[in-house]
Amino acid sequence: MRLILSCVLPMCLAAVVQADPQREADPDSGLIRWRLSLSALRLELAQRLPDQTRGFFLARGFPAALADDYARRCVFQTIGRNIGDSMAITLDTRLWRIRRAGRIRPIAAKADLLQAWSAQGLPANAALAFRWATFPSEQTFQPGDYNWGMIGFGPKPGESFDLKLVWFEAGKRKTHWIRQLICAEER
Amino acid sequence: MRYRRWLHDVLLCGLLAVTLPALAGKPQSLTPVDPPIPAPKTRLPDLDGDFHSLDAYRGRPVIVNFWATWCPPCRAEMPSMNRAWGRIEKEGIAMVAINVGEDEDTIFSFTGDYPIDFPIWMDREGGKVAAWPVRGLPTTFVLDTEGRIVYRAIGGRKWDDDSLLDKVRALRKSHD
Repeated sequence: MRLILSCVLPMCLAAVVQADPQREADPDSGLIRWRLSLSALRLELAQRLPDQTRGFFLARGFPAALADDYARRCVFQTIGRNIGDSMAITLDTRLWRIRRAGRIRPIAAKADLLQAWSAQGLPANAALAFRWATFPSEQTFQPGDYNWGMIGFGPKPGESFDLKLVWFEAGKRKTHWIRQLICAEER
Repeated sequence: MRYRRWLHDVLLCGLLAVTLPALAGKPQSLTPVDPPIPAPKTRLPDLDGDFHSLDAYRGRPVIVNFWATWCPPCRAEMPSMNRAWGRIEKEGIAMVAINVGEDEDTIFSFTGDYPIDFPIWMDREGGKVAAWPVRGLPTTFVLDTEGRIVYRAIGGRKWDDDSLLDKVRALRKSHD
Protein backbone atom coordinates (compact mmCIF):
# COMPACT_ATOMS: atom_id res chain seq x y z
CA MET A 1 0.00 0.00 0.00
CA ARG A 2 2.78 2.34 1.00
CA LEU A 3 4.61 1.63 -2.24
CA ILE A 4 1.48 2.12 -4.33
CA LEU A 5 0.78 5.48 -2.69
CA SER A 6 4.40 6.42 -3.14
CA CYS A 7 4.14 5.78 -6.85
CA VAL A 8 0.72 7.30 -7.48
CA LEU A 9 1.54 10.61 -5.85
CA PRO A 10 4.54 11.49 -8.03
CA MET A 11 2.67 10.38 -11.14
CA CYS A 12 -0.10 12.82 -10.27
CA LEU A 13 2.50 15.49 -9.67
CA ALA A 14 4.19 14.68 -12.97
CA ALA A 15 0.86 15.04 -14.76
CA VAL A 16 0.35 18.46 -13.23
CA VAL A 17 3.86 19.55 -14.13
CA GLN A 18 3.47 18.40 -17.74
CA ALA A 19 0.30 20.48 -18.12
CA ASP A 20 2.40 23.62 -17.68
CA PRO A 21 4.11 24.45 -20.93
CA GLN A 22 7.87 24.32 -21.12
CA ARG A 23 9.04 27.58 -22.58
CA GLU A 24 12.43 27.86 -24.19
CA ALA A 25 14.12 30.42 -26.37
CA ASP A 26 16.31 29.46 -29.31
CA PRO A 27 19.81 30.68 -28.40
CA ASP A 28 20.49 31.92 -31.93
CA SER A 29 17.23 33.44 -33.07
CA GLY A 30 15.73 34.24 -29.68
CA LEU A 31 12.42 32.84 -30.92
CA ILE A 32 10.37 31.15 -28.20
CA ARG A 33 8.85 27.67 -28.29
CA TRP A 34 6.17 26.39 -25.91
CA ARG A 35 5.78 22.64 -25.37
CA LEU A 36 3.19 20.86 -23.33
CA SER A 37 1.82 17.38 -22.83
CA LEU A 38 -1.81 16.92 -21.88
CA SER A 39 -2.69 13.26 -21.55
CA ALA A 40 -2.37 11.83 -25.10
CA LEU A 41 -1.81 15.25 -26.70
CA ARG A 42 1.62 16.76 -27.10
CA LEU A 43 1.57 20.24 -28.54
CA GLU A 44 4.36 22.56 -29.57
CA LEU A 45 3.93 26.19 -30.52
CA ALA A 46 6.96 27.92 -32.00
CA GLN A 47 7.09 31.63 -32.81
CA ARG A 48 7.70 32.56 -36.43
CA LEU A 49 9.10 35.93 -37.37
CA PRO A 50 6.66 37.87 -39.54
CA ASP A 51 9.40 38.06 -42.16
CA GLN A 52 9.78 34.26 -42.20
CA THR A 53 6.11 33.84 -42.96
CA ARG A 54 6.07 36.75 -45.41
CA GLY A 55 9.02 35.27 -47.30
CA PHE A 56 7.55 31.76 -47.33
CA PHE A 57 4.30 32.83 -48.95
CA LEU A 58 5.86 35.41 -51.29
CA ALA A 59 8.01 32.59 -52.66
CA ARG A 60 4.87 30.57 -53.32
CA GLY A 61 2.93 33.10 -55.33
CA PHE A 62 1.23 35.26 -52.71
CA PRO A 63 0.75 38.91 -53.67
CA ALA A 64 2.79 41.11 -51.33
CA ALA A 65 -0.23 42.59 -49.57
CA LEU A 66 -1.73 39.20 -48.77
CA ALA A 67 1.58 37.71 -47.65
CA ASP A 68 1.95 40.69 -45.34
CA ASP A 69 -1.61 40.28 -44.09
CA TYR A 70 -0.97 36.71 -42.96
CA ALA A 71 2.58 37.38 -41.70
CA ARG A 72 1.23 39.96 -39.25
CA ARG A 73 -1.39 37.61 -37.78
CA CYS A 74 0.89 36.20 -35.08
CA VAL A 75 1.84 33.00 -36.86
CA PHE A 76 3.16 30.05 -34.88
CA GLN A 77 4.51 26.79 -36.24
CA THR A 78 2.25 24.31 -34.51
CA ILE A 79 2.97 20.63 -33.98
CA GLY A 80 0.29 18.30 -32.66
CA ARG A 81 1.11 14.71 -31.77
CA ASN A 82 -0.74 11.77 -30.28
CA ILE A 83 1.62 10.32 -27.68
CA GLY A 84 -0.96 7.95 -26.25
CA ASP A 85 -1.10 4.19 -26.66
CA SER A 86 -4.62 3.51 -27.78
CA MET A 87 -6.94 6.50 -28.00
CA ALA A 88 -7.51 8.66 -31.04
CA ILE A 89 -7.38 12.39 -30.45
CA THR A 90 -9.00 15.08 -32.56
CA LEU A 91 -7.79 18.65 -32.72
CA ASP A 92 -10.33 21.18 -33.92
CA THR A 93 -8.80 24.63 -34.11
CA ARG A 94 -12.19 26.11 -35.02
CA LEU A 95 -13.05 25.62 -31.34
CA TRP A 96 -9.87 27.23 -30.03
CA ARG A 97 -10.18 30.70 -28.55
CA ILE A 98 -7.75 33.48 -27.83
CA ARG A 99 -8.11 35.90 -24.95
CA ARG A 100 -6.55 39.32 -25.13
CA ALA A 101 -7.38 42.55 -23.34
CA GLY A 102 -10.43 40.93 -21.75
CA ARG A 103 -11.94 39.81 -25.05
CA ILE A 104 -12.30 36.22 -26.17
CA ARG A 105 -12.55 35.40 -29.84
CA PRO A 106 -11.97 32.56 -32.30
CA ILE A 107 -9.03 32.16 -34.65
CA ALA A 108 -9.61 33.18 -38.26
CA ALA A 109 -10.56 30.01 -40.12
CA LYS A 110 -8.41 28.85 -43.04
CA ALA A 111 -11.43 28.50 -45.27
CA ASP A 112 -12.58 32.05 -44.51
CA LEU A 113 -9.14 33.49 -45.19
CA LEU A 114 -8.86 31.63 -48.48
CA GLN A 115 -12.29 32.78 -49.56
CA ALA A 116 -11.49 36.41 -48.76
CA TRP A 117 -8.10 36.25 -50.43
CA SER A 118 -9.44 34.49 -53.52
CA ALA A 119 -11.75 37.46 -54.00
CA GLN A 120 -8.62 39.64 -53.84
CA GLY A 121 -6.88 37.66 -56.57
CA LEU A 122 -4.92 34.99 -54.70
CA PRO A 123 -3.48 32.66 -57.40
CA ALA A 124 -4.41 28.98 -57.29
CA ASN A 125 -0.82 27.82 -56.66
CA ALA A 126 -0.56 30.20 -53.71
CA ALA A 127 -3.84 28.93 -52.30
CA LEU A 128 -2.51 25.39 -52.61
CA ALA A 129 0.66 26.32 -50.69
CA PHE A 130 -1.44 27.95 -47.96
CA ARG A 131 -3.72 24.93 -47.76
CA TRP A 132 -0.82 22.54 -47.13
CA ALA A 133 1.53 24.73 -45.11
CA THR A 134 -1.04 25.65 -42.49
CA PHE A 135 -2.37 23.43 -39.74
CA PRO A 136 -5.63 21.63 -40.60
CA SER A 137 -8.74 23.10 -39.04
CA GLU A 138 -9.74 19.67 -37.84
CA GLN A 139 -7.76 16.45 -37.79
CA THR A 140 -7.84 13.12 -35.97
CA PHE A 141 -4.58 11.56 -34.83
CA GLN A 142 -4.14 7.89 -34.03
CA PRO A 143 -1.33 6.90 -31.62
CA GLY A 144 2.01 7.84 -33.18
CA ASP A 145 0.50 10.29 -35.68
CA TYR A 146 1.51 13.91 -35.78
CA ASN A 147 1.16 16.90 -38.02
CA TRP A 148 2.40 20.40 -38.14
CA GLY A 149 1.66 23.62 -39.85
CA MET A 150 1.29 27.32 -39.32
CA ILE A 151 -1.55 28.88 -37.38
CA GLY A 152 -2.16 32.63 -37.47
CA PHE A 153 -3.68 33.46 -34.10
CA GLY A 154 -4.50 37.05 -34.95
CA PRO A 155 -2.85 39.51 -32.54
CA LYS A 156 -0.26 41.95 -33.84
CA PRO A 157 3.52 41.34 -33.71
CA GLY A 158 4.83 41.68 -30.16
CA GLU A 159 1.43 41.28 -28.49
CA SER A 160 0.64 38.55 -25.99
CA PHE A 161 -2.49 36.48 -25.49
CA ASP A 162 -3.94 33.41 -23.77
CA LEU A 163 -4.95 30.43 -25.86
CA LYS A 164 -7.75 28.01 -25.07
CA LEU A 165 -7.08 24.58 -26.55
CA VAL A 166 -9.95 22.25 -27.30
CA TRP A 167 -9.45 18.64 -28.27
CA PHE A 168 -11.19 15.31 -28.04
CA GLU A 169 -9.79 12.10 -26.61
CA ALA A 170 -11.83 9.03 -27.48
CA GLY A 171 -14.65 11.45 -28.20
CA LYS A 172 -14.45 13.21 -24.84
CA ARG A 173 -14.00 16.98 -25.01
CA LYS A 174 -11.01 18.44 -23.18
CA THR A 175 -9.87 22.02 -22.76
CA HIS A 176 -6.78 23.78 -21.46
CA TRP A 177 -5.69 27.42 -21.31
CA ILE A 178 -2.11 28.36 -22.18
CA ARG A 179 -1.25 31.70 -20.62
CA GLN A 180 0.86 34.46 -22.06
CA LEU A 181 1.85 33.32 -25.50
CA ILE A 182 3.80 36.07 -27.20
CA CYS A 183 3.76 36.94 -30.89
CA ALA A 184 7.19 37.39 -32.45
CA GLU A 185 8.07 40.97 -33.22
CA GLU A 186 9.06 42.43 -36.58
CA ARG A 187 12.83 42.58 -36.96
CA MET B 1 12.51 6.76 10.09
CA ARG B 2 9.27 5.59 8.44
CA TYR B 3 8.87 9.08 6.94
CA ARG B 4 12.36 8.90 5.44
CA ARG B 5 11.65 5.49 3.89
CA TRP B 6 8.39 6.82 2.47
CA LEU B 7 10.14 9.87 1.07
CA HIS B 8 12.77 7.63 -0.48
CA ASP B 9 10.07 5.54 -2.17
CA VAL B 10 8.32 8.66 -3.41
CA LEU B 11 11.49 10.07 -4.91
CA LEU B 12 12.46 6.76 -6.52
CA CYS B 13 9.03 6.15 -8.03
CA GLY B 14 8.82 9.77 -9.15
CA LEU B 15 12.13 9.44 -10.93
CA LEU B 16 11.02 6.24 -12.63
CA ALA B 17 7.68 7.73 -13.61
CA VAL B 18 9.42 10.61 -15.34
CA THR B 19 12.35 8.78 -16.91
CA LEU B 20 11.10 5.33 -17.92
CA PRO B 21 8.67 6.41 -20.63
CA ALA B 22 11.38 8.55 -22.17
CA LEU B 23 13.96 5.78 -22.00
CA ALA B 24 11.67 3.09 -23.30
CA GLY B 25 10.80 4.87 -26.55
CA LYS B 26 7.59 4.01 -28.33
CA PRO B 27 7.36 1.52 -31.17
CA GLN B 28 6.37 3.08 -34.44
CA SER B 29 2.88 2.54 -35.67
CA LEU B 30 0.79 2.29 -38.80
CA THR B 31 -2.92 2.82 -38.35
CA PRO B 32 -5.01 0.05 -39.92
CA VAL B 33 -7.75 1.26 -42.23
CA ASP B 34 -10.58 -1.13 -41.47
CA PRO B 35 -12.40 -1.89 -43.62
CA PRO B 36 -9.89 -1.17 -46.39
CA ILE B 37 -10.98 1.43 -48.91
CA PRO B 38 -10.11 1.51 -52.62
CA ALA B 39 -7.30 3.94 -53.36
CA PRO B 40 -8.40 6.83 -55.59
CA LYS B 41 -7.49 6.43 -59.26
CA THR B 42 -4.16 8.19 -59.55
CA ARG B 43 -2.26 8.92 -62.75
CA LEU B 44 0.51 11.49 -62.57
CA PRO B 45 3.73 12.51 -64.34
CA ASP B 46 7.21 11.79 -63.04
CA LEU B 47 10.04 14.32 -63.18
CA ASP B 48 10.61 13.53 -66.88
CA GLY B 49 6.98 14.16 -67.75
CA ASP B 50 6.13 10.49 -68.29
CA PHE B 51 2.75 9.52 -66.85
CA HIS B 52 2.26 6.58 -64.49
CA SER B 53 -0.74 5.00 -62.87
CA LEU B 54 -1.05 3.30 -59.50
CA ASP B 55 -3.05 0.59 -61.27
CA ALA B 56 0.22 -0.60 -62.81
CA TYR B 57 1.28 -1.80 -59.35
CA ARG B 58 -1.77 -4.04 -58.88
CA GLY B 59 -0.63 -7.38 -57.43
CA ARG B 60 2.05 -5.73 -55.28
CA PRO B 61 1.79 -3.85 -51.98
CA VAL B 62 2.51 -0.15 -52.52
CA ILE B 63 3.71 2.54 -50.14
CA VAL B 64 2.33 5.91 -51.30
CA ASN B 65 3.83 8.98 -49.65
CA PHE B 66 2.50 12.54 -50.07
CA TRP B 67 5.13 15.18 -49.40
CA ALA B 68 6.61 18.58 -50.23
CA THR B 69 10.18 19.83 -50.14
CA TRP B 70 9.39 22.67 -47.69
CA CYS B 71 7.85 20.28 -45.15
CA PRO B 72 10.45 19.51 -42.43
CA PRO B 73 9.07 16.10 -41.36
CA CYS B 74 8.90 15.11 -45.06
CA ARG B 75 12.57 15.97 -45.40
CA ALA B 76 13.37 14.11 -42.21
CA GLU B 77 11.75 10.86 -43.30
CA MET B 78 12.99 10.80 -46.92
CA PRO B 79 16.42 9.27 -46.18
CA SER B 80 14.76 6.44 -44.24
CA MET B 81 12.31 5.90 -47.10
CA ASN B 82 15.20 5.63 -49.49
CA ARG B 83 16.94 3.13 -47.22
CA ALA B 84 13.70 1.15 -46.97
CA TRP B 85 13.45 1.18 -50.76
CA GLY B 86 16.91 -0.39 -50.93
CA ARG B 87 15.52 -3.34 -48.97
CA ILE B 88 12.03 -3.78 -50.39
CA GLU B 89 12.65 -3.08 -54.08
CA LYS B 90 13.57 -6.70 -54.71
CA GLU B 91 10.84 -8.04 -52.44
CA GLY B 92 7.96 -7.24 -54.76
CA ILE B 93 6.92 -4.06 -52.93
CA ALA B 94 6.47 -0.71 -54.68
CA MET B 95 7.01 2.76 -53.28
CA VAL B 96 5.97 6.12 -54.75
CA ALA B 97 6.45 9.64 -53.42
CA ILE B 98 3.85 12.10 -54.71
CA ASN B 99 4.99 15.69 -54.43
CA VAL B 100 2.22 18.17 -53.79
CA GLY B 101 2.22 21.56 -55.50
CA GLU B 102 5.83 22.00 -56.60
CA ASP B 103 7.69 22.04 -59.91
CA GLU B 104 10.49 19.94 -61.38
CA ASP B 105 13.23 22.43 -60.58
CA THR B 106 12.33 22.58 -56.92
CA ILE B 107 12.23 18.79 -56.64
CA PHE B 108 15.47 18.33 -58.59
CA SER B 109 17.16 20.76 -56.26
CA PHE B 110 15.84 18.81 -53.27
CA THR B 111 17.02 15.45 -54.60
CA GLY B 112 20.49 16.92 -54.98
CA ASP B 113 20.62 17.08 -51.19
CA TYR B 114 18.39 14.08 -50.47
CA PRO B 115 18.99 11.34 -53.06
CA ILE B 116 15.80 9.43 -53.85
CA ASP B 117 15.97 6.24 -55.91
CA PHE B 118 12.27 5.35 -55.93
CA PRO B 119 9.68 6.98 -58.23
CA ILE B 120 8.63 10.56 -57.61
CA TRP B 121 5.40 11.74 -59.19
CA MET B 122 4.16 15.31 -59.29
CA ASP B 123 0.71 16.60 -58.38
CA ARG B 124 1.43 20.20 -59.29
CA GLU B 125 -2.12 21.48 -59.10
CA GLY B 126 -3.05 19.40 -56.07
CA GLY B 127 -5.92 17.84 -57.98
CA LYS B 128 -5.09 14.22 -57.17
CA VAL B 129 -4.18 14.62 -53.51
CA ALA B 130 -7.61 16.14 -52.94
CA ALA B 131 -9.15 12.75 -53.70
CA TRP B 132 -7.12 11.03 -50.98
CA PRO B 133 -7.84 11.31 -47.24
CA VAL B 134 -4.88 13.61 -46.66
CA ARG B 135 -5.09 16.51 -44.18
CA GLY B 136 -1.41 17.30 -43.77
CA LEU B 137 2.04 16.46 -45.11
CA PRO B 138 3.59 13.99 -44.90
CA THR B 139 0.88 11.38 -45.02
CA THR B 140 1.65 7.86 -46.18
CA PHE B 141 -0.65 5.05 -47.21
CA VAL B 142 -0.01 1.37 -47.68
CA LEU B 143 -2.04 -0.33 -50.40
CA ASP B 144 -2.61 -4.04 -50.55
CA THR B 145 -2.21 -6.12 -53.69
CA GLU B 146 -5.75 -5.21 -54.74
CA GLY B 147 -5.12 -1.47 -54.61
CA ARG B 148 -6.96 -0.89 -51.34
CA ILE B 149 -5.72 1.39 -48.56
CA VAL B 150 -5.00 -0.86 -45.59
CA TYR B 151 -2.69 1.32 -43.46
CA ARG B 152 -2.18 5.04 -42.96
CA ALA B 153 0.53 7.09 -41.24
CA ILE B 154 0.06 10.77 -40.51
CA GLY B 155 3.37 12.50 -39.94
CA GLY B 156 6.82 11.14 -40.58
CA ARG B 157 8.14 7.71 -39.70
CA LYS B 158 11.48 5.92 -39.82
CA TRP B 159 10.59 3.74 -42.77
CA ASP B 160 13.63 1.48 -42.63
CA ASP B 161 12.26 0.05 -39.39
CA ASP B 162 11.37 -3.63 -39.86
CA SER B 163 8.45 -3.29 -37.45
CA LEU B 164 6.81 -1.14 -40.14
CA LEU B 165 8.12 -2.95 -43.21
CA ASP B 166 7.05 -6.35 -41.90
CA LYS B 167 3.45 -5.16 -41.97
CA VAL B 168 3.87 -4.33 -45.65
CA ARG B 169 5.68 -7.59 -46.36
CA ALA B 170 2.83 -9.49 -44.73
CA LEU B 171 0.46 -8.07 -47.33
CA ARG B 172 2.59 -9.58 -50.06
CA LYS B 173 2.90 -12.91 -48.35
CA SER B 174 -0.80 -13.18 -47.67
CA HIS B 175 -1.42 -13.11 -51.41
CA ASP B 176 1.39 -15.44 -52.47
